[in-house]
Amino acid sequence: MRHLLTLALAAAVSVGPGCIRNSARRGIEPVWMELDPASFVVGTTTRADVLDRVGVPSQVLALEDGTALYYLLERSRADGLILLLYNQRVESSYFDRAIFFFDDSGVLTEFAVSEGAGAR
Amino acid sequence: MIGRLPLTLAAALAAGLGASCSVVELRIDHDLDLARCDGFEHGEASLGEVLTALGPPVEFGARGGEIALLYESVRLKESQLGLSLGAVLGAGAGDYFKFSYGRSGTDRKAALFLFDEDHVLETVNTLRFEEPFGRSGSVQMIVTVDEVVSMGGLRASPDAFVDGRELLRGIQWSQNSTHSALVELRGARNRMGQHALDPGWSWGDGTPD
Repeated sequence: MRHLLTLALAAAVSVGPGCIRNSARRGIEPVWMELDPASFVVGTTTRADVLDRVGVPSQVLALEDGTALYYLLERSRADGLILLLYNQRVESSYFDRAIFFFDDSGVLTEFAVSEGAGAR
Repeated sequence: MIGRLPLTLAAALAAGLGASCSVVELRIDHDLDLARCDGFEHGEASLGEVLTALGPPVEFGARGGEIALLYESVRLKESQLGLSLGAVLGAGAGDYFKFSYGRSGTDRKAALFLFDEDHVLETVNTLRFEEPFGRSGSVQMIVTVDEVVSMGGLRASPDAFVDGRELLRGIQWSQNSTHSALVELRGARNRMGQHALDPGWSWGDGTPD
């Protein structure tokens, strides 16, 4: 019986196994992930500084008392295994983000960057 | 020895019928720690503290001086059972297609933070739902591993990727788009809330069913 099972599995695996892997990126170059978050200082860094160092944002939001810049890059990856009897595909999407809030004078009031920024 | 017999018979039967099983998994964003989200004091925590602790939000919106941040993570798993149509209908073109029946479950987490005009936390609400997402059947190529249950609504593009495009659509769409300070969960349907006037049924990002 054990041989039969082994043979059945071996046949299934040898007939047409395959694998899939693809990846994609959508958004803008994540310059902010290469910068040290400590280099952005609340109360000192200006909107012009951020635009100059990080580049054009994905979104600009007008607030009542200032503006916000939002940067976004989506990284997606799919891995698949085709063994005929058993098939699997795992698709993951992760995002590198940065958000900066400025007051009326264009001075940084709050900000956040995705985990791992500055370590690349 | 007795235990192996049913297993072997099942394997042989499955191989004979051309049956197979597939698992399709979708993960969107890093796992959200809801306990951490609930740890902020209302009326005390600042926007800066929340951003420092949790990082940039998935979505954010502003109305006047008030700010809303939305954090969300999605895990969706679909299990399929496939049956070769060649085994049922006879050899021929049916060999290349299988009938698939899929059932999926979801584990979604979300946290919504609302800040007042001084950027102090007014309220935070967290949500977790682990429940069946749907079930469906389809006929597909025997070598493909595609989802049978529609996950389209959960794949909605982030606002940043459709910025500006909304303005080129019908007035109902552009006026009610998420760019008008609306923050909403993935998969939210139209014809409700701020999308009440949207024409036709679709997912929240305007992708038709």
